[in-house]
Amino acid sequence: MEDANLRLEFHRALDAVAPPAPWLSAHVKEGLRRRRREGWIHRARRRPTRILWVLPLVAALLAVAIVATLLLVGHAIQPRAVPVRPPTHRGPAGASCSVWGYIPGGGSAPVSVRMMSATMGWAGGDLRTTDGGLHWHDVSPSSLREGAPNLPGQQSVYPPGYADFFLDSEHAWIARSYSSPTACVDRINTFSTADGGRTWRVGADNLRPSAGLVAAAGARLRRPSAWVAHPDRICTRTKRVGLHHDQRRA
Amino acid sequence: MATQPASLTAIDAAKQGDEAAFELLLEPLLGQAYRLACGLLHDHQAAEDAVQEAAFNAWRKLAQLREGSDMRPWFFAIVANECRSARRSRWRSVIRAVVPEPISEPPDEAIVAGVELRQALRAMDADKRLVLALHWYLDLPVDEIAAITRLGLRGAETRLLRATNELRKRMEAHRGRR
Repeated sequence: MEDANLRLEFHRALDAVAPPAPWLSAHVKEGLRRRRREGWIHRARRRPTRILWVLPLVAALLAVAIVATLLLVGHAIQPRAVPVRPPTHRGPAGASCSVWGYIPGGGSAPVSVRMMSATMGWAGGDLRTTDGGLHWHDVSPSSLREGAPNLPGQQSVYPPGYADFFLDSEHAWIARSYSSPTACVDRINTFSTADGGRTWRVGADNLRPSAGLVAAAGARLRRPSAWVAHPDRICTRTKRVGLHHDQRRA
Repeated sequence: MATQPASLTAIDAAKQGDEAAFELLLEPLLGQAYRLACGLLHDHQAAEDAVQEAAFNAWRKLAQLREGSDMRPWFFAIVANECRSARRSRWRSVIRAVVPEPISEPPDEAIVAGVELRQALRAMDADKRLVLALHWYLDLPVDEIAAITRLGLRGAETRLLRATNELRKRMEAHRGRR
């Protein structure tokens, strides 16, 4: 098909769907004026200006939110110290030694209860409930009560130097001290569980007598961890929920 | 296309918010814009709507018209965009593309050729349809088509050539089936 013919065919074909519209110019102008009157155009033109100050505001709010989140997270992972109970009776070296008792530490303070949810909680270190406190089960490791005196209600008897930390429904650490003929606190062992007390791991290393159990909110860490603090500022971090320890100098 | 100094002054005035100046600039373009829209949409009512909407958008975006630029290619590009949006959004155009155009009387050869050409155009993609309408229907030179499509001169020439060849093949195929 020749170019001239094609052009002619185009004009014929498209003129058929483009009837004259003498009113078009008036309609377009009227439409523009109506929209101006109604403020459509002015609103549309003002929009970029509004965005100009909204964006920095949103950015500032986001920055504040990020800083607040960082502060909260920083606060949440601060280690919380649970000190080993002080000795309460006279030991061989003339010091006061703690004794076995019905209350952790041998005192008369009420047993602490820590609920992780409406139904699940820990109490006194080794009691665990899954029905909101109706029933409590002793899930403590048997070696925790090694050397316990034969007292009535033995399950409620706590060793000297007892300390605990419960991270969540599954992870918990407890520690106890062992005495010797020459010292109230000869060594301290840690026990840890990662399955709600069904199994316990015993820390292989005998810690220095003056150590204190320090625990961190490990849920926000990559791996649940606990720390054991020493007065000479050596911090011992648990690995694999307490089986091994790193030694770090603070 | 050369730009008249008077037109430049009017563009500046319109950019400053002079509504009368904008309408003066727009008026000579509306007829061709309407034909372009009809060529792309094949529906005069939809074409009128598209031109109306394009005029509104042109007023809103007038600040984007570069210093020293001609208004016609810039406005036609807006019209083409509006037609593209209208085709996408109007179910009516979809229905119309499927239903064959009714011919009540015994078909005249020219009428049939027109129907075939429109059908061939509708089967092509929007970019090719645009350059065909600009060149063969509005009789615009390739350099202005390049300005409207923002393809560059060589790109516009290539697209026009390919689109024309495709259209010819489609029309020959139509005629072969008759």
